[in-house]
Amino acid sequence: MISIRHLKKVFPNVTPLLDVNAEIEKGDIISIIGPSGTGKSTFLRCINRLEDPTAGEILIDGKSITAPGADIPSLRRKMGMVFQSFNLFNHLTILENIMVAQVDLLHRSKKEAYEKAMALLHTVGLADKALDLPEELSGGQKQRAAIARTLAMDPEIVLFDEPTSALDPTMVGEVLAVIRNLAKQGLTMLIVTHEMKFARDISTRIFYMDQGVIYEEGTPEQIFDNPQKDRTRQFIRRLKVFEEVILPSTFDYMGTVNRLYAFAEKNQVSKRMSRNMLFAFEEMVVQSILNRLPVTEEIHMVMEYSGEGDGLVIKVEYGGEALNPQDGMDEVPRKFLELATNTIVHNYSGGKNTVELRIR
Amino acid sequence: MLLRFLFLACLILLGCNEPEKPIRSTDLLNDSPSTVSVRDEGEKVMDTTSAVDLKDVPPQFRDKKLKYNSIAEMNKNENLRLGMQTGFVFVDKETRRLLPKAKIDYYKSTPDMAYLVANGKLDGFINDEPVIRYAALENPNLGYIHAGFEPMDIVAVFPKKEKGRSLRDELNTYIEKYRASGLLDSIDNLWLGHDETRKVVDFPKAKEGKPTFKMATSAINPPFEYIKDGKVVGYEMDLMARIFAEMGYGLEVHDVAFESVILGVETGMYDFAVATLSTTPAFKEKNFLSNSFYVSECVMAVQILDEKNVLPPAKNGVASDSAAIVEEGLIASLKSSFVRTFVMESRWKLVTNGIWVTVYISILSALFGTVLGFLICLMRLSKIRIVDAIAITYIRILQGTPSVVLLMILFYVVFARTGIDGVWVAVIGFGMNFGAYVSEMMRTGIEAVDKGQMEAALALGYTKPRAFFKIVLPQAARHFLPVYQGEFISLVKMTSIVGYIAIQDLTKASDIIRSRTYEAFFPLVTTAIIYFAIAWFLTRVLTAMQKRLDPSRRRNRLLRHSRAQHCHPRCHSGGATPR
Ligand SMILES: Nc1ncnc2c1ncn2[C@@H]1O[C@H](COP(=O)(O)OP(=O)(O)O)[C@@H](O)[C@H]1O
Ligand SMILES: [Mg+2]
Repeated sequence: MISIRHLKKVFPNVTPLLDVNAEIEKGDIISIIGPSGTGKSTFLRCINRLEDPTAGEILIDGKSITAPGADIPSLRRKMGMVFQSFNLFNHLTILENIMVAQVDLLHRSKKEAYEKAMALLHTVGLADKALDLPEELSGGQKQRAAIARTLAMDPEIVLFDEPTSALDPTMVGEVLAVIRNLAKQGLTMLIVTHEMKFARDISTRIFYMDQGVIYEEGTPEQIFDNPQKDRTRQFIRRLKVFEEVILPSTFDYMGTVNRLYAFAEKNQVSKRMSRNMLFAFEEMVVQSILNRLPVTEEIHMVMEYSGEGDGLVIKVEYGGEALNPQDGMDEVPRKFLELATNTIVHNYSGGKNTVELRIR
Repeated sequence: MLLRFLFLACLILLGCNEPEKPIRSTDLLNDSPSTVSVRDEGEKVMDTTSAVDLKDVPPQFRDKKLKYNSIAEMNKNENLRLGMQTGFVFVDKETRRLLPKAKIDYYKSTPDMAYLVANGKLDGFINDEPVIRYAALENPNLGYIHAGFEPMDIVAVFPKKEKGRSLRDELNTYIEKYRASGLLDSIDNLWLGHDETRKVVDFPKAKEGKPTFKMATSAINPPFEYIKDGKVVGYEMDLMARIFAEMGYGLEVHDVAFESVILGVETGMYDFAVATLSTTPAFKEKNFLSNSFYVSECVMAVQILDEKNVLPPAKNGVASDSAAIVEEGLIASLKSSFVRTFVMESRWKLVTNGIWVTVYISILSALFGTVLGFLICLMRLSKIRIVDAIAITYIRILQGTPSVVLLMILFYVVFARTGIDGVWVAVIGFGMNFGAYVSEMMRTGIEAVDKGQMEAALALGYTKPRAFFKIVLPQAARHFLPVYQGEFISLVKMTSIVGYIAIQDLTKASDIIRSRTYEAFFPLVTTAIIYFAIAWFLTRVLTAMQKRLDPSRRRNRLLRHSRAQHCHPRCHSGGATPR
């Protein structure tokens, strides 16, 4: 139904979309997840041409909508959009909000439009608000009205851009319920959301967006239970990540230790765990690896922390010969290290050492 | 002493009767019955008074107590306040030379100054003797003294071009003919006399194949030119009308602000000017001048202090003011003011016509200005830099130009030769000015509308222009209409300057009426009240429009509507009805 090929969008300061490729089939319900600022909104807005793509091609039912001279208003009529900030027309009542485009653009009679509007207001539970002004509604009600307005145009696909992000937590449920209902009716939808459970329940596919591309895509099970890539996993598990590249020649011991302290503090890592983490860093990374590594090699250290289950993991990567830091370590530090960690795994392949420590 | 007085009196009388230059003002003085008594009284005065130096006081004022009896006396007053007709360049200069200490205020018409002098608010003003003499007929507390001016020729002024010269030459032959036949004198007698029924002027239409000429005047200078029964009349008007009728030409009179008369001739707007213009050196240099058809001496108007001479309606100081009211009764006095302001000479027609012109110009300017302002606003919102820059420049220039100046530039420079009607020039001028303000107002209104509104409309499938008109503009209008309304009322009031370009609006009507009644209070206050009423009415219209844009009001209407239409069946079917 929609094919997106090599989509690229450049803003003066940033390039949120580098090379996005996707196929969207009729009936697909696709949730788009990813860190903020990675171009999820830009992606949706390119699809209905609220933004002009810098390069690439978007085909709808085989017809290019990025070609010059494409009839954008009529393409948009097939494609609804629900905004984070609702964007109900403030000078019109809820009923008029839903009727106006039907009458103006689909040339329905006032009566037809009125009946369609009232029917939709019933399904989103707002029939009694028909004659209210947007300003008189709560956020959740506004968003439900905005969804009704979009549906009144009988779209073939609806794009949702973080429909619940501007809502009080108490109102998220009512809006998600409305979208769930739509999913049951088989409407094609693209939903940018941070509601992971919701995305998992209703989606046929998940796009994880990062680094200007669709970084990983798959079924909800694949993405949520078995992410293949680090960034996806970090995002799904809501991991807090500390990353640092250490060069033996310029290593600033105090600086790195201070940054580790700050990271632990910021993420409310327990006292015991931060002590163990610092001990592991001192003994493993500084004493056992850095001191034995040729000066030309660099160490890539990543620390992942999640408040739940997984605890704290330190991953260290470095080149050179195979070098297991535990070999030739003194007895006392080795004992202490065993007390501070759950597991220590060393691997060497393709000229690369990796050590993974799970801190206790 | 006595001898000297006699000698001086003779000198005055003789001097005025110089054979080559017919001096009608004094001729009339000799002919009119009042002059006889004046002369008698004058002789009596000469017998009795010897302490005060009355050589500069004309005989008819010698028995009255004047505030000043000579320029020298005026010069002793450290706080002397004088009035000056705007545009009287020569007189202005001379007055400053005679009375270097005086503080001079500028006025648009002689009658206003006459009123102020008669009431002691001004110490004096200089103008042609017949003008002040005429004003004195209406203001018993107004007199004048000689100021030492040479008598000056009053002439018609033509542009310094071939066309001007030939018309001037033709006119001159008729002036000389009229002089020889004594016609000049009899026209003069007519206009300075008391027979009001004969004071009418018929401006001729052109005969077959003959041209029509445009004559500029400033009809605030009775008896030479003024408005009576809504028409321009007066000595000079009558003379010109007669001559042009005889020449077979058409004559169109244009009544403009005095300072615009010469400007209009120099820019080619009018073919010539007749507005009690005397042969000053500046005129001689820059224009062609006709032969003199009148000789007039400039004199200084001063107040007459005698209380026994106070006659209604002119009032003399605060004390006599209240005395007059007690005597006459407030109601009666208002009634007589009303009659003189509105009823006499059908002056209400001037007022109703003025109201119409004011409303007409205001509304058309507002419409034009709004459309123009909208276009400039779109230019301001344009992403193309140069278009935006042009719009900004336009706005800055118009906001920095006084409306009067803009109007004069349009009338006397830009549209001078097109012959386009002054009303349209006013509409263009005020519209341009209004547009500059409205555009900024609209722009802020539009920018105050959230960008999401436009995006939501686009996402539904509206085209950009349609989304703008349907969704953005109505919301912007709610932001800017209150300011717009205020700006519109300012516009209505601003139109009061159209008198500068020869349009008779409400303010000009009031000027004209005041120049006839020599009364300030009643016409000015009624004019203010009428402006207020116009503004009030137009505000109501705009407020009604604003309410139509208010969604909560519309909702209530809808509510009533839907109750009437849908409630009945739906209530039965149990469906939800908008409540
Ligand atoms: N109109 C714009 N002009 C310039 N930069 C923009 C514009 N819109 C978005 N961006 C930038 O593009 C990046 C991606 O934005 P967005 O698509 O909103 O991200 P997301 O929706 O994933 O949070 C951000 O860095 C944002 O600042
Ligand atoms: Mg976003």
